[in-house]
Amino acid sequence: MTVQPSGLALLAAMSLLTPAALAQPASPDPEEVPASPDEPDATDADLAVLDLAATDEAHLQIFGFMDASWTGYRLSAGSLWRGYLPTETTFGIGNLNLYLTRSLAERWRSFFEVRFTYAPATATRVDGSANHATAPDPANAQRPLTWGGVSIERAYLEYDATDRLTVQAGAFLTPYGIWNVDHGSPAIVPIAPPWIIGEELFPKQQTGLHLYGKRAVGGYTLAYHATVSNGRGPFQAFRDLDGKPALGARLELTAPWLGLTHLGVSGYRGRFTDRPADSLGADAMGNLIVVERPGVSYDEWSAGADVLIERGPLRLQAELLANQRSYRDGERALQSGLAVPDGRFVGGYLLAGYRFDRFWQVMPFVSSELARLRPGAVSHDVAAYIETAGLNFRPVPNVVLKVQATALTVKNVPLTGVVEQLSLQAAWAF
Amino acid sequence: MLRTFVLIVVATLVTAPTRSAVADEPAVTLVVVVAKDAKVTSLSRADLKRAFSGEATTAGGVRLVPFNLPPSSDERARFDRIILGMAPSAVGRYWVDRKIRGGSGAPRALPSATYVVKVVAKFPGAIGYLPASQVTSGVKVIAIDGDLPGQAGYPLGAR
Repeated sequence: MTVQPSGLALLAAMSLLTPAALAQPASPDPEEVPASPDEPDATDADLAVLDLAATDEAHLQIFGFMDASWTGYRLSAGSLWRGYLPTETTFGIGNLNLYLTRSLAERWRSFFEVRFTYAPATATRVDGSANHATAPDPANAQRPLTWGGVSIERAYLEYDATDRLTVQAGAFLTPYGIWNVDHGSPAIVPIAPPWIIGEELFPKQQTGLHLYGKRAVGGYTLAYHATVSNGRGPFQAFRDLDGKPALGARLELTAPWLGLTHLGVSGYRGRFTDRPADSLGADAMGNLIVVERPGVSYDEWSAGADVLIERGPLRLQAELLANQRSYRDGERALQSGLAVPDGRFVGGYLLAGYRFDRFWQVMPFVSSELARLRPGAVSHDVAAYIETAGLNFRPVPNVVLKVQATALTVKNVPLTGVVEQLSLQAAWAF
Repeated sequence: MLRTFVLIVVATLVTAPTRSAVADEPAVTLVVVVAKDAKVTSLSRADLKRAFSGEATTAGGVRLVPFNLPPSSDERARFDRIILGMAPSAVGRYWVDRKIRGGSGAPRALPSATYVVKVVAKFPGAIGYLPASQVTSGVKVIAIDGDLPGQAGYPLGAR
């Protein structure tokens, strides 16, 4: 259903006045057709009441996506990866995300997205045993009930000031590159995000203000984004431990070159601070004092460039990202008891796919990525190479089936070998 | 394993049939309409595309509220292909992906051209399209890139 602001009353009333239409069977097309055709009198009645029903309120809209997958790894004998990756094949639920949006008034919109997870049941304790995360189930004779959690992905209020300026206040996805905006498993081509996206060289989410807009001239569109936020942090959604706002920006040009080409550059600068809470103690004289506990803090910047070319059924996309981390005096992270040096993480990927209009609109795709990790306390010049090939089927717009094979090679880390992964996934929007 | 997959991908690319021919479409002229007393008289093709792609678009001092014909109609398929540049299958993917990204959903689809005329005539800012033969006195046909139906550059003319 459309949420164009100035049509809110119209659309809300039309939905209310034509309940028969809402009972229509679901169509593969995500649109609703509100009433039976060829009933002009019904339209007149609808329109006559609309003026009285102009309340500036629309329905709460609920939709979302989820995915289920099967994954198998093949690790070489003696590989260090055996301590981190499962050696058995497994089924699993990945994302179960729910969106709730509502237009509050003309130009005002509330939006939030939550992800339901099985965590903490999926976590392991430090000794490697499973964290069962169970509780007695009062509805089932106190038998163990495995409970899960909710992750708030996005939650913001949006004000559509003009055609060229929209303001979001709250928690939003960082506007950088292609992948972090695509976000949902049905909308992305492969099963998993590239390594460099998963490593969050830019923070995935931020909490603060996000201003964006676009200007179109002819076939060209220039879009901008500007953010000010708490930046990265352990509690970034509700507390900035250093009080230093993080700033970010993105520019994107869409041009009718080679079909349709999107060129983007993004930047981010902020400070990460993880500081354990101070505690009360006593000095040698027995006086009550505040004991400061050491934390970790670093200044960071991130930069990125991306290109997406859509030429009919052909899709080419690439991103290049970098993140520099510089620790502050006395607040350097430790790794195995050793100080972690300042350093830079650089990576990029290239993905190519071709969507046929047969075979459930199959899109064969290949991708290649390189990630050069930042130096650790004992590791230097570590690089990861990841090659992926797969098929993406879209039998109907809401359902995506994927199968892919991935090979990961890590350089300059002994006993890692090549990690091969075969995955199948069903992702769907609802 | 990866090598096997690359072979599968290549085999699929080689053996898959090419895109099917676009079905024959009715040779009717489609017109874009707004309320009779609306100030807008012409829209660029780019603005029309933006409005029907879910982008906020203002014309004549009013935010446009687009209305579509049903996805199954020939007129809708033709409008989407010419103005949005998308085949019906691509249109479905576009709107699903857009909602997942947090954008607005597709413009409301009305069941028939009769509805389009009545809704557009009633509400300033509403904009729709329909066969030229179904235009009534309550709505106004606007030009696209300065061209009205019947003129050489009009993109939605009869074939």
